[in-house]
Amino acid sequence: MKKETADELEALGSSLQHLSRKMPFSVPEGYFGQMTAEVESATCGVIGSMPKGAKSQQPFSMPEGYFEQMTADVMSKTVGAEKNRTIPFVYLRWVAAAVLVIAVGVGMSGLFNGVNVSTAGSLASVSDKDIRTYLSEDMPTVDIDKIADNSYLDGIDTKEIESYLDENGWDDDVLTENIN
Amino acid sequence: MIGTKDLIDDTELIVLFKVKQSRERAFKVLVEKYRQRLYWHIRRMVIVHTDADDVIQNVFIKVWKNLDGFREESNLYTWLYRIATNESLAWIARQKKFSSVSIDAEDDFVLQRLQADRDFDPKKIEWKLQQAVATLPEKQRTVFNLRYFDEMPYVEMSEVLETSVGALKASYHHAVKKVEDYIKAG
Repeated sequence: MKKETADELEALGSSLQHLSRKMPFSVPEGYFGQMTAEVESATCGVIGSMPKGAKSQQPFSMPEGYFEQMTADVMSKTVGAEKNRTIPFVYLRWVAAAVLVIAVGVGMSGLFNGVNVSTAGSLASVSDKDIRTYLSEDMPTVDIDKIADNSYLDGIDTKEIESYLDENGWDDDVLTENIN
Repeated sequence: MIGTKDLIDDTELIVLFKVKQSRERAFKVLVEKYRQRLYWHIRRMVIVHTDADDVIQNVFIKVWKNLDGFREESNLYTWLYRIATNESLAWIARQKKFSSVSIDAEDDFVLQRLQADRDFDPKKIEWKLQQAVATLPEKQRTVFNLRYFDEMPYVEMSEVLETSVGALKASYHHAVKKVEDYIKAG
C-alpha cells in the first residue's frame, strides 16, 4: 500500500491498512495471456510486461487465457469491425443507377429542348437525399439496360414524341416521371 | 514504431491513435496497458467474471469509437476509469431493473452475487472484506474501491466521478468506518 493511502487510514484510526487486499475472486487461468496472444495474431502488435499494479491482484482467479481472449475480442469488435466495413454492393448499384438515370434524363431534356445542358451541373443541384428518395421509390421500375443503350426510344417516331411532349409539357419533371 | 506499451506514455498513445497508419497498433497497446487495471475495477463492481468481461469489452469499444474526440486536457487514465465506472454502474442498474427481485433485495444485489461465487468463503478475511464493501451504498462503494484498492489520488478520482475532492474524502472516510465496523462485528 502506498504511504499516502496508509497514512490516511492511520489518521482515521483504521486497521484496514493491515488487511490483505488480495482479491478472492477467481479468473480463468491464462485469461490475460491468451488475450495478448490473440491480439498479437490479429494485429501483429508487440506486447510488453504486466502493467504496474497487476501483481497485487494476481491471486484472484480467472478463466484460463481470459485476457488474451478478451483482447482478441476487443480488437475484432473495434479494429476488425472497422476493417470489415464495406459499401454494400446494392448501394453501389443504386448510386450508379442514379447517375445513369439522371444523366439520361437531363440529356434527353437538352435534346428535346435544344438546350445545351451540363450533366455535372444538373447533378450537383440534386441533393443526395432526393436521389435516395427517388431511387427507393421509383428505381425498381426503370429498365437500366434499355436506358443505357438508348433502345428505350427505338421505334418511336420523333413526331410522336414531340406530340406527346406538346400535350404533357417539356419540363424535366414530366420527362423523368414518364420515363419511369 | 511502437515498442512495448510500457515505453509509450498516454500522450504519445493518443497522438499515435489519431494517425491512421498507427491507429490500430496504438489501440492495441492501450488495451494491453489498461486491461488489467480496468478489469479489476469493473470486477469489483459487478463481481461475476463473465459480466466483468462483457463490461470491459463494451468499455474498449467505446474507447475505440471516442478516442478521436478525446480532449487532451483530460487525463487518459481517468477518462478510461470514468467510462469503466459508468459502464459498470449502468450494467448494475440494468440488472436490477430486469431482475425479478424485490426493491429491498436490490440493496443486496452485489452481496448476493458475491455470496454466490463458487469460491466464496466467509471465514477468509479477503472475502469478509469484500462482503463489507458490498454492503456499502453504490457510490460509496465505488469511492472505497478506487481509493483503497486502486489507491487513486483524490484529484484523479474527482475527475472520474465528477465529484469534489472534499465530498470524496468524506465519502471514503465514512466507508472506511462502515467496512471496519462490519468486519469487527464478525
